[in-house]
Amino acid sequence: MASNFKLNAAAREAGHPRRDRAHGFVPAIVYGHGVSPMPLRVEGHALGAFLAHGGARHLLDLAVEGETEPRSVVIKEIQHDPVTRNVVHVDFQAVSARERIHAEVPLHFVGEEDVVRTGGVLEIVIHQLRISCLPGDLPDHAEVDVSGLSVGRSLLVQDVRMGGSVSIVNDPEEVVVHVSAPRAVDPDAGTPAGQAAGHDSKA
Amino acid sequence: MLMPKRVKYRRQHRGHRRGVAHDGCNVSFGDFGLQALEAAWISDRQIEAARVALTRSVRRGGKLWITIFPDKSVSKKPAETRMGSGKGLPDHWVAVVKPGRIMFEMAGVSEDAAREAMRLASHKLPIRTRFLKRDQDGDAQ
Repeated sequence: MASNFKLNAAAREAGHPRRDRAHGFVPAIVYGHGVSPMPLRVEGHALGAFLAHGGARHLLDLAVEGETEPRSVVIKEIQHDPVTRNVVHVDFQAVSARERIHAEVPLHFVGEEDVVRTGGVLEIVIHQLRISCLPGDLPDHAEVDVSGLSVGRSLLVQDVRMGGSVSIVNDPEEVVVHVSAPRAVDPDAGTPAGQAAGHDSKA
Repeated sequence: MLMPKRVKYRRQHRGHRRGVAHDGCNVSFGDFGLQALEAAWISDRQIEAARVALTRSVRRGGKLWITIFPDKSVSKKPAETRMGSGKGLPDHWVAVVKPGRIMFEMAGVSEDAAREAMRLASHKLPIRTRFLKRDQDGDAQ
């Protein structure tokens, strides 16, 4: 279950994100729940430490400089630089304790070694689950037990169990994970012409 | 080798290779990825050589995704031809790759096996690359 973390932020002038980054800050914005969007800046080191300790999926108190009460927020989006992987921008969503929010939680798969022992290859179709819940019930992750799956079988979204006020937004018929038989393929066999980008091939 | 089935125009302008990739920068399909750190035209032969290196390295099991596609034609004039007389005939196909682009992804193999396979594949490519893996939260790192 989520617990409250604390992060300090200061209001910033919109339109100069590079200047903030050059001074060691990360540009951010807070919006949602009846408040007008407010550009912020967060100290880069503090944010890095916060994210390294798994804070990305926690309810947190955002103490904005000059405001008396901290805002209760969740991180809606984190943008990374594609090359350096540094955080370049963060979106905070202001939440109310009594209003449901939508969020994405990562799936952790349990019992993968059992599938490998039976000779199957676990094909994970969905890595994150879209859920709706009260901010206080926001889970860190969802566990999916795949130990009972045999070759050729799939696990659907409707088979994933979540506790508390959490409800799953994904289509119940959507496949989460599929176990396929390993196929030996001639590595020298060429790829077909016209194959679309992102297409997969068995190794 | 990879190439489009049909195209509207056979010859293309060379274009520019400024900036970094904005799409395809995260490990989306598999658990491990090979990311470009430089801009380049990756030819159909280079993609094919990297694919063969990957599949030979892991042999059985696992799954491979090629997330770039050579959809740009490169034309070439025949040898010992005088200049002029129009643009040459299409010679080969390339994928325009910018820094940050994930080119190959793998799943269903151990990290060590994927790292070694990606290392071998990277030797078939004309650019510096980096091995990426999906972290516990489902994001690339």
